[in-house]
Amino acid sequence: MASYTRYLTTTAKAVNEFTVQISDSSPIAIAQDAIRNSCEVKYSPIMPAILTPQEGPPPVPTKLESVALLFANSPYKTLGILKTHLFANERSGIYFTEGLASIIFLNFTIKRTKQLHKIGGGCPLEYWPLKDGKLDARRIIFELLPSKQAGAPNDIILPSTDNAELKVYVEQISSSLQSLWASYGIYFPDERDTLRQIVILADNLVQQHGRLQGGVGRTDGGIACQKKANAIISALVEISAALSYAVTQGTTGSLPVLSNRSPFPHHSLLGIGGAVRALTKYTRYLESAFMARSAGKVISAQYSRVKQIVPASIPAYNSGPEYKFTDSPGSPDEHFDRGGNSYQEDQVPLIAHFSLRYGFMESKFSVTAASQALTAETLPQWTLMTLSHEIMHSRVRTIFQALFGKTWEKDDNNLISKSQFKEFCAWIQARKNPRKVRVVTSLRNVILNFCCAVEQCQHPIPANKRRPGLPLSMDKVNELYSRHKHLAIEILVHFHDYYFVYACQPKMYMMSLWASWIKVAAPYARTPEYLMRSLATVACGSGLNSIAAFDHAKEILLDGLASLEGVGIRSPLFSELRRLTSTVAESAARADFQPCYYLIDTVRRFFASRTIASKIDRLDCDPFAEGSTFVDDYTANIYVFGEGQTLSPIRYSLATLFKTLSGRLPFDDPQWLTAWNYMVISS
Amino acid sequence: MISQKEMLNIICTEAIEYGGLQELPGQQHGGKTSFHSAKRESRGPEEINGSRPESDSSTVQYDLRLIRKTNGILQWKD
Repeated sequence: MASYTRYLTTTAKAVNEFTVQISDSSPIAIAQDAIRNSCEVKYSPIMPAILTPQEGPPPVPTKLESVALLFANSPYKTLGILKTHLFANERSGIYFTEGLASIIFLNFTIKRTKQLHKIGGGCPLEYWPLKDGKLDARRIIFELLPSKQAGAPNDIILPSTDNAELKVYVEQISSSLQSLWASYGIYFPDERDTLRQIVILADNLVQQHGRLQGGVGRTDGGIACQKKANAIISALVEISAALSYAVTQGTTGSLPVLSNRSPFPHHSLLGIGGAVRALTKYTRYLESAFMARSAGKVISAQYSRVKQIVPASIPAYNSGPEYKFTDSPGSPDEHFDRGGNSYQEDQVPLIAHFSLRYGFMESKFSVTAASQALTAETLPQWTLMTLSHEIMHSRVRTIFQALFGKTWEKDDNNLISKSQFKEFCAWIQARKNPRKVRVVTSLRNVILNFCCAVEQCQHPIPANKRRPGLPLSMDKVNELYSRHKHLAIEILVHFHDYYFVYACQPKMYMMSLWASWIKVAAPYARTPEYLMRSLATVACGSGLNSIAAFDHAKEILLDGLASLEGVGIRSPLFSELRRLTSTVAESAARADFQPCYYLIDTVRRFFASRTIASKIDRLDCDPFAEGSTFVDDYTANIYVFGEGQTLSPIRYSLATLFKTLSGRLPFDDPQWLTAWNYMVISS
Repeated sequence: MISQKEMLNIICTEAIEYGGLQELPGQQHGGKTSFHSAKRESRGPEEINGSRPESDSSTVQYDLRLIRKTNGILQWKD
């Protein structure tokens, strides 16, 4: 199979003199050559943009006479426009990249470059005229666009403080903000709104820190105050770190290219600004959908008023009628969608970047994708679809804050307050004859009940040993919540991902999970936990009791594993999953499953939202159904370019993942396909 | 997804839960050394917010138990 990926390399020979080469050799060979010759090499992968079916990649140019770098913010659309204006002999000279210089022309004259540049709508341009493959940096031609900003912005007032400790962080944050403000103005104008929100947040934190200073010196409560002040410092540190990533990853590779170096050595020439833009667009798309109804507002305004009967008995739990995820007229409305407008007025957007250390992860201020996804996003373990799970963590934070959170106005140093504990006690004691209770209280109780049950899971009692129930004090409930709430959080996240992003498609979700989980360490270390997370998620809404729901979910699991194996995705973990769901081991899996099913199905009852779901354009039919061509409508054909239509990053990424899982990728060059996906999403 | 006001209050909650420690890197937020963040250590004990009771308080009888029958089968009893 021919490789489609090429590498553009510059080698510094003198202050202003560079050798420029294009090759199809491996990046390891390029690095080896650089070590052998003791020279400074920068390189990046570049991808031939215009392919012809059945013909393989265009040949590597034998001679380089010029390199034109176009910093198009929507390269997929720009290439779609340009393609129709190219002569036949020009098509093999067009490339796309993962950098801010998103389109490259090889061997075009400056006159022709400027013509095409104008047709493409104009964007910053850098043109390298070469002589015998050598570049004199003083001869580079630049074209910048005039700034569209009329006057100075009056809504960006950087935070300030007299506190010497805070000043360190405020200065770092301010410095990053000004770098990003300038860069986003050219390469990512929409993202300036994110900077506005970060400025507001940083200022709020500085102000709050100031208000705490009076309390720190008190003999009573001084330590609690200092902990809060420390938490603010920690938040400022994390914001500063996230912004630093945004600067180093998102702005390197900007014009002039040769004067900066990307922090990713395998993208040292052009950087990864285009891929970061794709991550950011993906994230903003989901964030924007969830603005339609704020979980915090629904919980505080509606669920604190409305009463419902919510079961407390986990073994007797029965889901009720089967839940249908349909948008047909007359379909039932959801608890979450009732009660008038709950639009979220503002938000602190997540700063998206890549991380080798953290992989796919979310924190309060940032979301990261594994750095491997820069090279091999088409492999299941590094698919962008994993990012949706991480983004849902942010949503679940708001739910936990609304149910259990503290506020600056109230002094309460227990995770679970006395009144919450009393409500839990009353609810548990009344479980045989449940009464209507406020939904906010019920949801809190369900989570506490789950935490207590998970604790019991780990300590089964021999049948011949008579032992009464566990006496739970407030301290004990605090401890169990603290110990097991992370699992509860994961289960809520699974629900949100499954419902909103995967449109409740059980087989797709199951295959997606296990295709990626077999490539990371944790599911091998804690297989039963991951097994029951996956089973409970696809069982939610089944309308079955726990026993039947487990059987239903197990069937989906086994079917999904067989389908993965059918396309060559195999793992020793699959045998372990089959063992854990058969014979004697199955009773342990069933025991683990029941509290999770109870929790996720209750969450489904109160957090399913057709209002939000309608804002997310997904694959909402089963692509695995026999004869389905559904996916083909929603992936970008690599032989054509979009003509102005808007693609949902979710639908696009899901369709791409489906193609991976069904062995239908057009060719075996993960780097090329990865860059293509980022180019489409970033546009 | 998190509003400005929610974010401030989340930081306040974390001050009480984690004593002001940073969330990242994962090891600093009460997690353990692993390939994944603390939040994924969902079955691990929470070491920051200690489990030692500080006071005698009222209790509720929690009757849900997981029974291991003589044939090894596990069953919930309430």
